Amino acid sequence: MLDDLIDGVARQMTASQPSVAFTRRVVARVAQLESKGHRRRWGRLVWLLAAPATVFIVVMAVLVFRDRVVWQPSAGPRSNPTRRTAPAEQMAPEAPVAEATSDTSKVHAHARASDVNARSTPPTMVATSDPDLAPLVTAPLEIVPLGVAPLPRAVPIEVDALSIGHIDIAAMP
Amino acid sequence: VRGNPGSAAAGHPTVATIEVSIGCVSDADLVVRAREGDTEAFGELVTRHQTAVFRAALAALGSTADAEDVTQEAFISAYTRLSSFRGNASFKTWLLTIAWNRAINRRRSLRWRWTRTVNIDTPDMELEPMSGGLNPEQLASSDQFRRAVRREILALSPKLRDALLLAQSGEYGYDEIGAMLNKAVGTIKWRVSQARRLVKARLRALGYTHVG
Repeated sequence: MLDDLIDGVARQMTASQPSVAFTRRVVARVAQLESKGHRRRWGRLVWLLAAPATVFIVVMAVLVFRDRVVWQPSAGPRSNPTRRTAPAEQMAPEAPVAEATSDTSKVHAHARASDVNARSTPPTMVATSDPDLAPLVTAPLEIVPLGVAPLPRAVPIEVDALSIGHIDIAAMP
Repeated sequence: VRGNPGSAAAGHPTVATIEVSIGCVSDADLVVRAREGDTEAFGELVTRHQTAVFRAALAALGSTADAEDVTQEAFISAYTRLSSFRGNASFKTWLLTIAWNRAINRRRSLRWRWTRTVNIDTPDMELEPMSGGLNPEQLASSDQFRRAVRREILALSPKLRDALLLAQSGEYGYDEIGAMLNKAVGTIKWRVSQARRLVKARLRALGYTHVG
């Protein structure tokens, strides 16, 4: 009996209901969360797209304006606008025509030396329009004439005529 | 919930809109719909389980205002975590576990303890002197005795009190209480029995020797 009484009192202690508008309140909060979530998702998407969009715009701008931009040379000895390349005839005198020699080893040695000289020689000579400066002229290269020994006369090769001997084959038994 | 008037129905005016009573839909189906953002489906889940969740929170907190706050928080939390609900247990059990954990966290908070202390000190909770001249039936039905029982239940340790109040609320089976408290069913049954025994012993110690 007392157990039932204790159980009854315990039941009464929790015998209550949430208010009538409870469900509506919860659903309203859920809907609010949903709308916030949508807004947050859109915001995140915008931020995610912002970086590639910026890169795309920059790349497109570079591609469009690349050909229109005139590069102005900056001040300096290499990019001085008053300097110009010297005419080809001033750059280097014509090399003398090689003369043939009979010594082959000497020819090869000279050829190697002239090759080294050609590589170590500055490739360009720049003249300036500045009247105070004398035009820079490099000394003409000293090139040893390249001689090639004539080929020795070819010796004809003589081949003897082939002779085939008679072969005897025994008859099959 | 109305049937979705999709492109087929829109292209064929003779196709009637299918009306589906939400009361026939299982919790699992409602959960699926709620996951897709159907707030009406979630509202049905709230309607179905609000009493069970509220009573669990009330058993833990003893205050209807706090219990309602916790119930609301539990439902919102459940909605935001619907994707983590795997369906191993029933939706009700999963929801009750969320609500119970929230209620216990609130009970442990300093603010709640302070409020609780003030409430205990109120004159309403004071034990009244034993009435004399009443037979056991009259005494058992008297408000004075019922208040004494209530006082003794509140004086129980939280473990025993929780088990007793949850078991007697009529909303949960022992397995659901076990899931909420993370204890075996046998443990819950023992706690309920022990709670009754202790309340009876204290009542006898207070002079109610001829009851039960």
